[in-house]
Amino acid sequence: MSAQTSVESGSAGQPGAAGARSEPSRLRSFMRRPGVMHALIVWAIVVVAIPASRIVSPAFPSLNQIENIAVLGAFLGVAAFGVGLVILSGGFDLSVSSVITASGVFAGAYVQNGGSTALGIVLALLVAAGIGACSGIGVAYLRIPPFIMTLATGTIVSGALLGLNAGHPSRPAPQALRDFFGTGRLLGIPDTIWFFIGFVIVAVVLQQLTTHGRRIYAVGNGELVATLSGLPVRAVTAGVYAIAGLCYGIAGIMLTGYSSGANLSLGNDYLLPAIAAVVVGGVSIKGGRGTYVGVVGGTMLLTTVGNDISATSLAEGWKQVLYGAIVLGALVLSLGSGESGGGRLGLRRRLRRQGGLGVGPLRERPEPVGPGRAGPGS
Amino acid sequence: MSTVAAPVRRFRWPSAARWRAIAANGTVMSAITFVVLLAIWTYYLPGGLTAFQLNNLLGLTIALAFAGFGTTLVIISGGFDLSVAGVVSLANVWVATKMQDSTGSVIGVVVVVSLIGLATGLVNGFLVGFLGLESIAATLSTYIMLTGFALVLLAAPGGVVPTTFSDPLTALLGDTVPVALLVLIGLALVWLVLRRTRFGVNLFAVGADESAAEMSGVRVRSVKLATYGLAGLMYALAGLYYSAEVGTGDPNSGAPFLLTAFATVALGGASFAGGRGSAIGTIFGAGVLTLIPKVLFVLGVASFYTSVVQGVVLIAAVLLAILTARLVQR
Repeated sequence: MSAQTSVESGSAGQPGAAGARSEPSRLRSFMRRPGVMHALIVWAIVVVAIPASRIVSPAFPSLNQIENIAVLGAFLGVAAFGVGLVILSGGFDLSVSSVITASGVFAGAYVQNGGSTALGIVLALLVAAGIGACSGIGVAYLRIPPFIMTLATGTIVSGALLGLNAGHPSRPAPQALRDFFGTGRLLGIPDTIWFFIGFVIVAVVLQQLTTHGRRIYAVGNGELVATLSGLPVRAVTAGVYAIAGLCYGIAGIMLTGYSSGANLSLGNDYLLPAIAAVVVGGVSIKGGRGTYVGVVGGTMLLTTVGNDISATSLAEGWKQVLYGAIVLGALVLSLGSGESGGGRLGLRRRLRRQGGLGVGPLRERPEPVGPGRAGPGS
Repeated sequence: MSTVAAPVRRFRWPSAARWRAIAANGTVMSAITFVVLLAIWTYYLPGGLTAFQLNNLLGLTIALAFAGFGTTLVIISGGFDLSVAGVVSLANVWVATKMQDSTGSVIGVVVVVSLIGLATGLVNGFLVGFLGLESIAATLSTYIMLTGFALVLLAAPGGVVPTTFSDPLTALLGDTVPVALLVLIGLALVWLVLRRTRFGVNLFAVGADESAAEMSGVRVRSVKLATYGLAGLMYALAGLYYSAEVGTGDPNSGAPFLLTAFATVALGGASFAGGRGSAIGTIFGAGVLTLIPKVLFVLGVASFYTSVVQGVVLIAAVLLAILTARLVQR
């Protein structure tokens, strides 16, 4: 089944077109959409992993544990939506930690200096989106590689935070935030979880159903094709980084409320897990393929594993080792299901499927070389 | 490679095209930047540039130069390698926890750490070259795992690096010549030889156009395996030298290398699209990056803002490279 799918998606080229054109039932064509199968697998593993937590502690599984995982996963999940969107568009973002911290620290400092909480939150989110927009402009208009641009903005922001907050290692959280993300409950379920459910719905609608969302997929699948199709590729790309910044900002506000304060290392532990969650969730690092539902699954899987490791007497480092192993596993899994095909290196994989990398078949099929060089990375 | 200026035999004013080629040559530009910054620093330094000051500067530069060397190789091949931070962390922690103050132990640990780096690189090369995984994603997973192993070995900063190991590496020969300077020159020579070997030529070919290289009979997968393997070894050497300089262990010591290693490569004028770059440019880039905080310090800028300036310089360097590349293409 998987081999058949991979050959089909490989020969059809553009995944969106493949889904729309296929004759069989809507369910089957939906299942064949790239990332859907992967998302289902990840969620299936999550459903198995939570009861399996009993191996590490007899107190698991419990409602309390599930609640914990959902709350901790919510922070990561919100940040991961931003990272996922950027990766979906064919980019990369290393500024996650700094922007989370900037947003939390800004809101805390604003309210501490006598500003209103609501305005503080709005301004903090604007700052976060603004930083994202700066990265986006650098990537889209100045053609700086995303990897470098976001590394630079992240460093600049963290340096500026250090300088501007000299003498204030930590800012207290506004009371309203503390009440909402720290202790608040509705119908016995933490407010954070309700908030996250709302966020996921908005995010899925934005990504799957709006024009902007579909454009991001198009840009991620190939800038050249998107440009030739008349899409405003640069504006879409810049917009993606701004939305991502906004997401990190929201995560920063949530974390500030949850941990009742914002210090300068607020977002430090979120960069690698956020990227890991995106990769585990089945988003192709080359762009154009993946779903947010899968990313939330990846987030919950990593959070469950982290939760389990913390419950054992194992060193904290093993959590990281396991995260890395899970990321690698997810990469290999997506390789097996053919979801990493296409993109710049697609040529070689297509050739391999045809039965080898020898010189012979390459001589027979020289035509893909040109488009391969004109990829988004050049 | 085409942008490397050929030696001028008879003196003649270079043509406009030649000037543009020189401006686009990252090695020349980073060397000029380095010399200018060095001059500013020396001018403001009380007592001028002494051998001691130079040794201090090069000591901070050298780990970065090794890390940048490895990163340059991978960038030229057209990939990205995030595992540099993980290898440096693990190497540092390994030295700080396992090395005893005896020659035998020092040699043993150096060999083991080098092998760890090499093995990591070969794993990366296998994942990227043979499994066809995207380099950022594959090296991200090894990076996360290595950081985990470093944390398992040493949960919090601590440990001591024996002086038997660190003293020779940080010494001043005859009170005038820093050992680090000799090592840096050696590193530059390694590059000059390497890029003329069969592997070096193939490396540039793979980075410039993978399909064309494949069609010309270059074994792309093996070249990638060797590239990442060699890069991993360089990261391990960076971690060893870093440990000798700081004298202690920290499971997160490698994290700053993620930014700085790529910044040195950008400053050195390598193309992030692959196929173009020079480790000598990177070595000067490492010098520039180390000099920035020192120059800021003598100019009286608060140390908080060092990373702001480094980030701005990184963007500027990449922008400059993009602009000059366009000038030459015109």
